[in-house]
Amino acid sequence: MDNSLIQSTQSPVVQFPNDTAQGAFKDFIHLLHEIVPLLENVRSSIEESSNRIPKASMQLSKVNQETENATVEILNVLEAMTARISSAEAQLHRLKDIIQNSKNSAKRIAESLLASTSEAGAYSSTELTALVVNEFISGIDSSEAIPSIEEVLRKTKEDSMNIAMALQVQDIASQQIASVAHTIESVESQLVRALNRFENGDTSDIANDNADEPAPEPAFDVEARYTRSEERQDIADEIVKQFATNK
Amino acid sequence: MAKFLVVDDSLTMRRIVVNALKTQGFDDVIEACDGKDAVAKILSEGAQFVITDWNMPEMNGLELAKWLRSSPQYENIPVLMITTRGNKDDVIEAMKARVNNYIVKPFTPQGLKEKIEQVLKTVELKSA
Repeated sequence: MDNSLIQSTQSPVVQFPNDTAQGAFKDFIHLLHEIVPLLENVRSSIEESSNRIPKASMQLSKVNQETENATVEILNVLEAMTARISSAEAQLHRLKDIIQNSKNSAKRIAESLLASTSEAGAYSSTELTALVVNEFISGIDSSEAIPSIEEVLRKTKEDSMNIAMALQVQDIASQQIASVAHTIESVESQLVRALNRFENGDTSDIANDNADEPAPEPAFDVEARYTRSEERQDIADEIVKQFATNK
Repeated sequence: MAKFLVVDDSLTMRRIVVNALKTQGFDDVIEACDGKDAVAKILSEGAQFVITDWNMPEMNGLELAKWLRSSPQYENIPVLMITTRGNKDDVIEAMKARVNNYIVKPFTPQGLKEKIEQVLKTVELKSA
């Protein structure tokens, strides 16, 4: 420690009653020497952090926007898929009607052919035709292809609906991200205030730091979560029921 | 058939709710991106059933419900809230604002259908 700080060349600046007091003062000056650069470090860290925060906040907002765009694209595909499935279902239904009508016609032909045969014994060509027609009808009867295709289409439609419903996760995740962004922005405003105090010595806002002002309700739910558990819905249902009973 | 107004600031959620409604045969649906937009749509296009989110900018779902209930012309419009807010106190607050029913996200098409039917049944009973 440089004694010039405490002992002027012209006259002593400070007179110490004893060595202990002089030692304590030296320690204090030494401490100041160490603190000043530390404070400068703190100030530049705050400045750097407060410069980075808006970027982080913007990045989060971009993530939200991009996931929403992607979700909308998925929804577009799902909607187009559902429309095509519905169209296939309608076509299949029409095919079923055509087959049923053909079956009815074939049955009528077979019955009228059989009614027109009078001779017993060997099969006449008419009887053979009737048998072939009957065989055709029973072939159609035993076909399980159509119901099975219908089932596949129904399940595919149900799956695409389930995928669409699962996309609710985007809304829930975006609320969580918005909540984080909000926290970051709060930290930013605190840092900016701290920086002002460092640079300008302006402490007029300290009194307002803990001001009991009601914050405006955010446009997100801090506790938003994606869960298939029905516990929260059950609680809501119970409350709705109670209100309905008390009316 | 009632005209539905779906209010949500999330485009994704609006699409999901509208699709779920259409799947169940409710084809007459309009949309709004927050409470303020919803009020404008109600005044200009009308609606017989409001399905709204809670947390939204400008005017939230709770404020929208309160606005509807304070308006002599629209006080009886059924309001179904679909929100991520599943705490007991939230549900009580919404019910005090006289929403008709409450769904916690994520919802299922079946759950939505049930709640709409419950609300419509209550409204019909009241008007009978």
